[in-house]
Amino acid sequence: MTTTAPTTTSRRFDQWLFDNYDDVTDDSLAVVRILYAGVFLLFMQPEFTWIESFTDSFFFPPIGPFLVLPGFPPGPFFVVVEIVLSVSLVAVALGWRTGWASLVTTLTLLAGFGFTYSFGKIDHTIFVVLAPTLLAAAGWGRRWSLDERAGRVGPGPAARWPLVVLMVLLGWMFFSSGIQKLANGWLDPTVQSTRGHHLNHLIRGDDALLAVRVAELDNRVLYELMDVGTVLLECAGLVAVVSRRWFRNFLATVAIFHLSILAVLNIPFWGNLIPYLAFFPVSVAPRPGRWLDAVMARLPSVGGGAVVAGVGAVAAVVMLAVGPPGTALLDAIGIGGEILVTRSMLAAGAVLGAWWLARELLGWMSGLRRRGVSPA
Amino acid sequence: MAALAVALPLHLLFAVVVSEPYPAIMFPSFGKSPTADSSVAPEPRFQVAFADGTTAAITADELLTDIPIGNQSVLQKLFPRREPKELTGGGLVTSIRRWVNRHLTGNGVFDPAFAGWLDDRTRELHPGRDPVSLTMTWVDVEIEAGSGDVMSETERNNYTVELGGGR
Repeated sequence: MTTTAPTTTSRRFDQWLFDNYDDVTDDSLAVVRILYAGVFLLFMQPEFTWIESFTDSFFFPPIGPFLVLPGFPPGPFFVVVEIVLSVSLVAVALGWRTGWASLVTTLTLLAGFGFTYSFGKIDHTIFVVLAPTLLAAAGWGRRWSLDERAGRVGPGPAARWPLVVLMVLLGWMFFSSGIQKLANGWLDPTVQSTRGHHLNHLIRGDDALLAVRVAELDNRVLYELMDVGTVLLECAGLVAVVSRRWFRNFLATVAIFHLSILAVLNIPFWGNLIPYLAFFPVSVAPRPGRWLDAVMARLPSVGGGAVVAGVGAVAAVVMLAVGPPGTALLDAIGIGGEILVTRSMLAAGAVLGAWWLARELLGWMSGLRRRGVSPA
Repeated sequence: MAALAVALPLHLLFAVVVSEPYPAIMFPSFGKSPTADSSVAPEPRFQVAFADGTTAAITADELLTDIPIGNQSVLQKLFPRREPKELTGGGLVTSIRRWVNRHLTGNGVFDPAFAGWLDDRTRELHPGRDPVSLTMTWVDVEIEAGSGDVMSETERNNYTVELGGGR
């Protein structure tokens, strides 16, 4: 019997798929898991019970599974969706049956957003929806989790290929946006599309941050550069998946791009930021790491389900009563909670992105110096 | 990966040619801006008439306060800003588009349940008043690119919904 040696191409493909994110540790993914579920639970958990106050006259489902439904489900359905989402997010945060909890989170968000978008507009939240399931498959529940306490985590490192699948999906999403802009004529030099969208937002009253100041800049070249830059950046998403380094630099640039979109168009595209972190080797300082170890050590190694049910029930009641509690608290003391949280997250994302790019640039320059090449 | 390499381009093509599905693995496109010197934004304006002969303006944000997605898109479904394009011909894509238009376009403003909802909502916004009709007008507001000044306002479609005044 003879065996065929793998070709260089197939070996490279296997390395790209299976070893690409071998520097992302279980600790790193666990931080992303806790941040994702924590930020959702405290500040940004979407509400769906408002749907019950509308009649089926508002039901315009997009093509897909919601099209087969005759209308919105009765009000209690949305109460159940919010309860299930709260409990599943608590389970994700505590790492209890993390794979199933993450899948339930994905399905619940998919359903809730599906009915929300059946009002006639699709907001593009699909990356936030898919992230829990793929990150769970990549092993985000292996550390600082009830699963770890209960010995449900297998030995050895988890497969990181789901992270590569998520990378390809994210790169594609950006590419899909860029290629449509290209087809829509965004590179037509006689028209500045960024300018047009900016003015449309201003007319609708989105005049916060830098929106008015940028409107006063009547510079076609600048706006054309924005059009070209947007198309190039978004199309680069699909090219960047070739290498994890390229993809990290791409995401760091995108984090700055998201802040500029907020500043000019007042669109808070915040939701993707925490899942972006999953692609980076987040190192946890010893002290917070020990603190997380100590917190997990206090939780029971058996009966984690009861802990999740108890905390989840409280989270669900609070959510149904006042919405995400952190946001409600900030609103109550007169600070616009949602605005503060989204802007803070986008600012933090841009700072981290700029820091990452500066670090890469310095590394590249010192590499050139070592080889005796002048960067100039 | 091979499945993704086939499925992702196909569903993008479907979204561009026919209609965007949900769920779909894509981010928003944003269309091309129509002119270089100005920008036209559609603005929905509402006026409610009461049984005592007075009227009051209400904004789209007041009317649809609970909806967290862009209310303009919702209003475009309920009160179409343009007459739907007549789709003629028998090609596959046209047939699919025609089917989509037929199935994704509701009765909107002509739906009695919607009139009932509007009646309840205007009463919530104006407690103790007796609304008899609600007029919705799409106005195209043209803004000069340089100054941001309003250059023109053009009324497009308008709709009047009879409400249950005097009930």
